[in-house]
Amino acid sequence: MSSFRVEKTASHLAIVTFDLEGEKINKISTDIGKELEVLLEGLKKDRSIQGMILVSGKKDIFIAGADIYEILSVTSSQEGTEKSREAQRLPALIESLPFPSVAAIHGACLGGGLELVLGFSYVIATDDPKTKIGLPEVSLGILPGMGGCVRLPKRVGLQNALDMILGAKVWPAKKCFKTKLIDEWVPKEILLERSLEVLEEGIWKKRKREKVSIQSLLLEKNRFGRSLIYKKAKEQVLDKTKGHYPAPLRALEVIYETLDRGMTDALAIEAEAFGELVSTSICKNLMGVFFLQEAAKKKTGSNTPDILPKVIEHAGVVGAGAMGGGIAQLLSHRGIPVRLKDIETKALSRGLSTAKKLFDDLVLKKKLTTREAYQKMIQISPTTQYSGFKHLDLVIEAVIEDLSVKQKVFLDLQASTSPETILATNTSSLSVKDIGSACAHPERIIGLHFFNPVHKMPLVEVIRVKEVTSEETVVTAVQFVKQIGKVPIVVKDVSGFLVNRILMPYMNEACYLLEEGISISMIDQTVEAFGLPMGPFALTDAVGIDIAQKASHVMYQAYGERLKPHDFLDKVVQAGFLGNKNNQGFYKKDKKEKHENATIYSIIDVKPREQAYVSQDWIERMIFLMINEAALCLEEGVVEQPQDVDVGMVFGMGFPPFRGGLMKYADSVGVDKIFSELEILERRYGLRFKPALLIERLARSGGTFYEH
Amino acid sequence: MAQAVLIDGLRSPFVKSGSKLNDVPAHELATVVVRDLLAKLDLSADVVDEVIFGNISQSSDAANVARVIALNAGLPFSIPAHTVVRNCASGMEAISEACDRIHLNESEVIVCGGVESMSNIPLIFPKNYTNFLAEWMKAKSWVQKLKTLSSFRLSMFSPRVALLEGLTDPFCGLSMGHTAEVLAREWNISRKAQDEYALQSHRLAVKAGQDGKFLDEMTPFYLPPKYDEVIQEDIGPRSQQSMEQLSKLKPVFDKYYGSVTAGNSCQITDGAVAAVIMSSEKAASLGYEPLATVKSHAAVGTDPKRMGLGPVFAMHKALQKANLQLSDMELIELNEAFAAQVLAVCNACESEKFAKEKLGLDAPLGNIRKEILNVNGGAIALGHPVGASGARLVVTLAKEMKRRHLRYGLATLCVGGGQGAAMILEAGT
Repeated sequence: MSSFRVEKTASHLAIVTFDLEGEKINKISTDIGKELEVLLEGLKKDRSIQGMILVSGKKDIFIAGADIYEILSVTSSQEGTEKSREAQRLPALIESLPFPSVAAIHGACLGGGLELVLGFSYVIATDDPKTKIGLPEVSLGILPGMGGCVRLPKRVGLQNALDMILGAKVWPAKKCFKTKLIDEWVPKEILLERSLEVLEEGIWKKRKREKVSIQSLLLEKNRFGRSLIYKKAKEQVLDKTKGHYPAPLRALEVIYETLDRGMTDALAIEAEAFGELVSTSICKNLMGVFFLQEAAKKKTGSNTPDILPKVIEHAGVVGAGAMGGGIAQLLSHRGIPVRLKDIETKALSRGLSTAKKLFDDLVLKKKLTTREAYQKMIQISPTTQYSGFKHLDLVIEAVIEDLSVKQKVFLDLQASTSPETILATNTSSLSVKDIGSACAHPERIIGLHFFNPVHKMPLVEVIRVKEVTSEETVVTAVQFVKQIGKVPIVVKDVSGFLVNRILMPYMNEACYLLEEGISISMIDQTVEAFGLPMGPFALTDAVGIDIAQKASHVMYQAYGERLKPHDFLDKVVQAGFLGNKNNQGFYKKDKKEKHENATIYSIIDVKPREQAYVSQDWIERMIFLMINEAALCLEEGVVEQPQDVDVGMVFGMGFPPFRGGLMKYADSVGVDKIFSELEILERRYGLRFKPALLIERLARSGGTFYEH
Repeated sequence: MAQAVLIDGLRSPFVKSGSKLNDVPAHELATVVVRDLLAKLDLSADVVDEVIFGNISQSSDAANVARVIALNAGLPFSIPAHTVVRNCASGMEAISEACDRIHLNESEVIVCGGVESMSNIPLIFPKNYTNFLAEWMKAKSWVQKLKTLSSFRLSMFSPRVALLEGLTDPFCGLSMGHTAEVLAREWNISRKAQDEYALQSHRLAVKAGQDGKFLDEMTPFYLPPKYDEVIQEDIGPRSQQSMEQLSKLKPVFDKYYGSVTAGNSCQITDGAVAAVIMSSEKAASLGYEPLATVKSHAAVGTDPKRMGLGPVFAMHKALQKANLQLSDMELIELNEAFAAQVLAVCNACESEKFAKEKLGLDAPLGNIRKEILNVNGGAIALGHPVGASGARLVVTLAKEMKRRHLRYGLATLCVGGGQGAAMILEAGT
């Protein structure tokens, strides 16, 4: 047992260093809790000790939180409640020490880490940007179960506590100081020195109490005000989670209920709620998605570990449309200067405006200062010539989806860059191989498929052309995607790649449902109720109906009858309906109000039925088709594992994380059930529902996607 | 001695002050130009040794503007930068100094240029208001505060106009316009001659713009904060300018007996220019073909009251250093501070008396032929962003020399405070 070191100073202070053995980060587990308990009991008995300081032995991490694997292993709510009760003893034990205690924080202090800190008599954190303090538990489907729900409101006030816990927020030291979550923020070089001083000179006694303002008197300090806050917070939570995520709501109830209770009662309520949440499948799925993301971040894109990525220091973007402008902004935001090329200055001006608006938003949200935003903005240099491309490490082409135009751009790029420059296309439906077919050095050509809007969508599909794209190019591209803060998956160069290909039968099926007389908004609402961020028609509007239509034909050509597009999109596009971009889509915006575009029905010659109920069938038809297409992708090796499909679907189209991903959802429904349903649907509707071989095999063997 | 060569230069559009670039500070204007020039040349920032920029009205929030420009343009922290001031010749001074640094083997690649945002020259609170505020801060008791307050005068709010103060000679007390009036009187230059010269400047500048001659030296400026507008041409040259309009204007400086008007003076303008100077060896090793070699450069002092004649002395010195005659010059860029001043310089060059008395020469300096003088217009049309103009003259000269396949060219400016500056370029290396 050596995760804690204790050093006693001449002034009888104990400096406890937390340095979890064999790990890069500190986290709290049952074992660590026991170890700490023994240590604290020991200190308690030592009459000579005058005070204690807790520091971290890790670089830039104080305590990253509780051990998520341990939480994931909990199988029943009783077990969860017990774990919580056990963990709650730690901050309580610190509170009960006969001497003062100081938490000296540098680096991340999250979840259980912060809950532990709330037991200390005095808290000092460094002003370093690496220092981030918060309670992100609800994002994993649980709530703070080490007394955080009880102690935080007492420390920072009800509203601040709700803000942090329900929003799963992480605050920088400055905000923590302002809200009195910490008592001091100091430069990191003097953290320990100051902590010693605080104990030696009795400064800890002068801890600042919560400031009582008129606002807090009116709201937080009386019953009526509190119930108002509760109601408001509940509305906000429901609005945000649409009822799919129970954790924030449960946390709100616990906080509200325990406000006036004694500590013992309050902690019992918290532990009870923790147990309830931790045993739900939603919690398991959310943690599963967390692990998926972590695993995706670790992948290099190659099985050969000795191929190292090149560092991307200078980049170019060709095409200053919504995608090009968004990509340019992302790169310059992440510190990579961008040469932005388009045919004319007008287009460039639009691209720069796109980028500037995104930077303005970041300034508004206080993520950047005006000065920082300017310095990043100025690193996007617009040009109508291919000048300044010679020394670029990477160029991303984002011009219109037209093969001959893209091929021309690639030839221009070949002439204007060095042979080592990686040339990437952001195509969504064309073949990467075809686009670069005329180029010498095709080994440096790759696809980097960003999703719209670039700044919001976390996924980037890295498309490797089989036996053409070099390993080094793939590894560099994957590393680059991580460098700019996105989640990469490596995908084969097939039509639609992974995400759009899986989306296609789903969108198509939505058209069939529409043809049957179910209204546009009803279909979308059904899908949203399932948990997707928007329904198929709202999504088509956002993407651009013309773009979706074009893609549907490309995929029809590639995959044949199974993906034969419904003719609705053709009709709608012919009538000049392009979606949000010309405010003529399946929906229309009038004075900020979005509503169904009634003229659509006459164009496609459908009368929407009066529909009193929502049928489970609709969802099955759309979602099962996605599962089927995903199974085909796995058969063909478009991606390697079902996990990749789930990363793609969750981060590329917003498939509900609480369902764990598309394949995870399929497993939870049961592959055998999906198989039999597909067979029934095939008999009723035809070929497009023909089950994939993989599904049939799994159904017969009783297997699941994740374990095949 | 290493040879200093001009690789290329680029400028922003020159835009009348108080208009489109009103809210763009000088360093932002220059940052764009430096950034775009480096990109245009595909010049890696790592090979740059230093940055030198000319600027006169240094803004208090961007002290040593050259450094601010260098860092914002993405040059590494390790590259030093400094700002130079020789008033109207500051931009040329930056290039001259860059050449000197090359000659001394101190540097091999230098980004230099000049910038001025005359829109952003501030108003200043008068000194008595500053004193009042200082007293107020010191006052502790209510009695002291009341006493201080009683010293308040409304006049404290009447600001000093830094732009006007900057255009007034601090030694002889004349405004720049008045020094032009002195030359007009002493060299007997009529109002009509001045207006005709001004009209010619507009015509040539408009034509040069129409012929696309500035495309190669200008980078489009995407206008912050929204970037929804692009400035791609100079705002200053007037295609509809006529003698009639010019002759109607009232003299600005000597309202009763003068002849210098807003129409025959340079415009107050915002603009930035950047250039890359290298040693000829470095240029060759990096694979650049220089526009021109800097043959010589010179700065001189003269009577502040007649600062407009500065170019005559400066040309003389630069020609002497290069061992050349004025007649060897095939193209001349002479900054148009005032039409009267340009014409006075031409007259002085031809004057035997002036040559004898002021230059100590037996024969006049020579003839400045109209056909080779400011062939693409000058500051009367394009405007005079004071810290930037000197660099523009050099860049414009080099590009026109190349177009015309000429061997020698000269750029020169008069300098407020009684100086002159000149630079002689030779084609190629």
